[in-house]
Amino acid sequence: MSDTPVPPGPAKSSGLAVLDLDVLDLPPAIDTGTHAGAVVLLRIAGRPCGQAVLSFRNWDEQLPLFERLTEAADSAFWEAWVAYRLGLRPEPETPTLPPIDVVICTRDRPDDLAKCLSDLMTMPDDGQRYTVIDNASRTDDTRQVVERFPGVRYVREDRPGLDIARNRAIAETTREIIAFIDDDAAPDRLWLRNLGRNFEDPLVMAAGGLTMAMELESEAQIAFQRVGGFGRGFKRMVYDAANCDPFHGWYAGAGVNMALRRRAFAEVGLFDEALDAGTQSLAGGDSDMFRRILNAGWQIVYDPEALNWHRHRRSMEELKRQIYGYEVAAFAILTKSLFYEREWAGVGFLAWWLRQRLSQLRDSIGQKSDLPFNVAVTQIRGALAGPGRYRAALRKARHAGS
Amino acid sequence: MPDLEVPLVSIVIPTHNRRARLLSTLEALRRQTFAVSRMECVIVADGCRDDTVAAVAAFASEFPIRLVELPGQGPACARNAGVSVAQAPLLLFLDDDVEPEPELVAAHVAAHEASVPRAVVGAYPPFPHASPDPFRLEARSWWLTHFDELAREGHRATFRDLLTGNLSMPAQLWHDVGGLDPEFEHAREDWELGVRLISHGAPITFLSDARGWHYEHETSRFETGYVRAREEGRSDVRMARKHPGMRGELPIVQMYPAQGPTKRLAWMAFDAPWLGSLYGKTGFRLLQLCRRHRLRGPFRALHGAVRQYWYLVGAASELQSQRNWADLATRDDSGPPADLTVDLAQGIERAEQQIAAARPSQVKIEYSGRAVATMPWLPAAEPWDARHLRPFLAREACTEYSRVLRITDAADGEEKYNIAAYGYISARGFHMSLLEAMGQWWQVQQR
Repeated sequence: MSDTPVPPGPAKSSGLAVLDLDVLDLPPAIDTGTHAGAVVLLRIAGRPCGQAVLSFRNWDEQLPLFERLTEAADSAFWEAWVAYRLGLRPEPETPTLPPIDVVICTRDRPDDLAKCLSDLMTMPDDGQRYTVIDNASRTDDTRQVVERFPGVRYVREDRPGLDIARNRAIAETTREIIAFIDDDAAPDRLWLRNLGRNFEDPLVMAAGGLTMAMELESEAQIAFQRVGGFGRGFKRMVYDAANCDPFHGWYAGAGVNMALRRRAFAEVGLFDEALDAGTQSLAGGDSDMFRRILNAGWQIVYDPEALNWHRHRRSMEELKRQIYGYEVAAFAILTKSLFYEREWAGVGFLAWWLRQRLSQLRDSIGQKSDLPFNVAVTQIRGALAGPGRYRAALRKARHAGS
Repeated sequence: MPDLEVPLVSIVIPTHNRRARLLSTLEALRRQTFAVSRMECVIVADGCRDDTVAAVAAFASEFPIRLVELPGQGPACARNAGVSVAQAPLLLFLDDDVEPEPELVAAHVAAHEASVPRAVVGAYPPFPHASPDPFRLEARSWWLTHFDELAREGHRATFRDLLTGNLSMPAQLWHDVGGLDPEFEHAREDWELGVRLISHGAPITFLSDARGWHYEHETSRFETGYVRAREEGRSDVRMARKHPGMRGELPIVQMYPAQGPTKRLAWMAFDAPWLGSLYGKTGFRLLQLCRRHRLRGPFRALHGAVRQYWYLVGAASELQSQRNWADLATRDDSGPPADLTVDLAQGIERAEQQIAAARPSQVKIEYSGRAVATMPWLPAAEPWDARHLRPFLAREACTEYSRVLRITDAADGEEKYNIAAYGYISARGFHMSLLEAMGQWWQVQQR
C-alpha cells in the first residue's frame, strides 16, 4: 500500500478491462493495454467462482499471474478453490431441466438484440424455445433482426411498458419455466442450464443469476459497479421470507437474469403493469414479483453460476436516472403494499430505509466523491416521488386496461 | 429360503387423534416397493378420542397390523409399547404425520444389510407447502435447515440427529441400549436415546433415500409450541442430570449465567410466576397480531423470547431454584487432550487413513510441523472419521487451509502474501457480498 495520497478510483482517463480467466488454464500474461486495471471473473474448471479487482498501476510483469489473481480474489473464489483442491467439487451432472421458454423483451435496440440472440444460440441445445417480445418499437428493425434467427419467435406488443411485455410473454408461452434476459445482456455459455437447474424443489418459484459488467470503459459504468452494480456475490443462496424481508426480494435477482415457474403467476398474479420501464414508476416490476413470491411463502434461489453479462449505461446522466428510478420503484412498491394491499410489513422496511439513507446522507456530506451527483440525495428525491408516480402509473394502467 | 411367516421389519407408528393423517400413512405403506408380505405394522393409539381405533381395525392391508391402545402416556411410552409387541428383527419408527415415499422401507432395510448394528435416520422434510404465516415459515425453515445439515457431505453425527419420526435400528440394538426412557415423556426422548446410542458406540447414519414427507404444516401448531418448549426445558434438566458429561450441549446449561433479556425471563420463570404468566399471555396475543399482519421481524424476535420464557418455566419446575440451576450449569468444557496429530505434508490420504484407524475424538492438523487447525472434541458426537477430514478443511478450516495451499503452490514453499478475502470466508448473504465487493474496489484505490 502506498503512503502517498492517491486520487480516488483507478486512473480516470482509461477504463477497466473485463477479463474472464480460468485459474486452471491461465495465459502467461495479460495485456494491460491502456486500461488502469481489470475486473476479472475467476473460473475453476470452467465454472464461475469469484472475482478479482486488479490495478495495473505499478504492474510487475515478473510476478506470476496466478499469485496476483489469488491474492486479490474474493472469498467465494477461495472457498471454491479450497474445495476443488480437496477434491470436493465434482463436475455438476447435466441436470434434467424442466421445459424452458426464453424471453427477451426489447424496444428499439436492434443491435443489442442481435448480439444477445447470437450469444444465446451458442448455448447448448437443451430444447429451450426463444421468444422476442417487440415492445412498441418505432421501427421495423427489431422484426428484421429476429427473422435472421430461425426458431426464434417474434411477437409484437403495441402497448409500451416492460411489465406489459412480460405479461404478454407469459400469455404467449406455455412451458413450465420462463427465463428472462435483457436485450442489452449476453449469456454465459451455461447460463440457462445453471438457471434452470434450481427448479427441482417445488417450493422454488423463481431463480436469479449473477450479472457482470460486459464493459467498464466509461466513468459511469465503473461508478455503477463501485456502488454495487448488479453484484449479488458468488455464493448460492436460497431465500424465503424466513431469511429475507420480501421488500428485499431483489437480493435474489433481477429482470436482466431471472427465471420464473409458471405456477407463480397463478399463486401471486402477473407482473404489475403500473410498474417498471415505460411507466411513471420507472422500475421495480421484477422486485415486486419477487416480493410477492416471498410474501406468499415460496422460495427464490440465487445461483451465481447462472451468469450473464450486461452493458451498463455509459453516461453519468443515465446512471443518475437509473439510481433515481430504483428508488422511485422501491417507494412505488411500498405504496402499493401499504395502501393497496393493506400490509403492515412495509413499516419495517420504511424504518430500515430511513436509517440507511439518513446515515448515507450524513456520511456523504463533505466527502469527496467521484460522481458528479450525490447518490443519497438522488435516492431520497426518488423516494419522495415514488408514491405519487405509482398512483399516476396505476391510473394510467387501469385506464388502458378498461 | 427365508421363513415367510416371520416379518423382516416392524413399522411402529404411535398416534394421537390424527385419524386421517394416519390412514394416509398406512395407504403409503401399501405402496412400498418392499415386499409388503415381509413387513408388519404396529399402531400405538395413545389416548385417541377420535375413531382412530375403529378406522385402523377396518383398514384393509396386505400386511398384518397390530393395534396397541394406551390411555395417553406420551410418545416415549407409546414407542416402547409398540416395540414390545413387534416381532421382526428390524424396527422402523414412523410418525403418524410422515408419509413415506415408495422406496422408504426398502432403503431402510438395505441400509442394515451387512453392517455393524446402527441407527438409520431417514429424511422427512416438510411437505412442500407455502404459507405467509411467520410461524409456518419459521417451522419450515427449522426442518429444512436440519435436514440440509444432516445431508451435508462430512456431517458429524451428534445426539441431535436422532429424531424418531423416520428411524430404524435392529431390535437387538434397541434392547441393548434400553429403548426410550419414559422419564422423558413429552420431549427430548429422541435426543436422550441418541446420547446412549453414541456412548454405546453405535453409528447414527443419515439416509436421504429413505424419504417421507412430513405434514408438519397440518400437525405442528403455534398454540402448542409453547407447551412443547416447557416440556423441553423440563426434559433438558433431566438430561443434564442423567448425562452430566454432555450437559454443555444443552440450552439450559448454555444459558447460564443468564444475561440481558434472558436474565429477566429467568427471574420471571423462577421467582415471579405471576408476572411471567402475564408476560406469557401478553406475548401470545402480540404474536397472534404479528402473525395476522405478517410482521415477520417482530414475530421472530418475540417468538424467540416467549419460547425461551416457557423453556425456562419448564426448567424451573424441575430445578426449583436459580441456585440449583447454578449447580447444574457449573461445568468443565476442556475435554480430553487431542489423541491424534496428523501432518498434511505427508499427504491427505495418509491423514485420512490415520483418522480412520484411530477414530479419535479430537484431531490436531499440522503442515510440516506448523499448526493448521483442530478438529474439536464434542460431547455426545460420533468420533472423527476419514470422511470428515476434507469437508472439515473446506468449511470450518477454509481460511487455515487456504494458507496451506499458498505454501504448497509457491515455488519456494514460503507463504509470501496475505489474501484480500480474509474475514469473508464462510460469510453468506447479500450484505456480506456487497461489503466484500466494495472492499475489493477500495483496495485497488489504495495502490
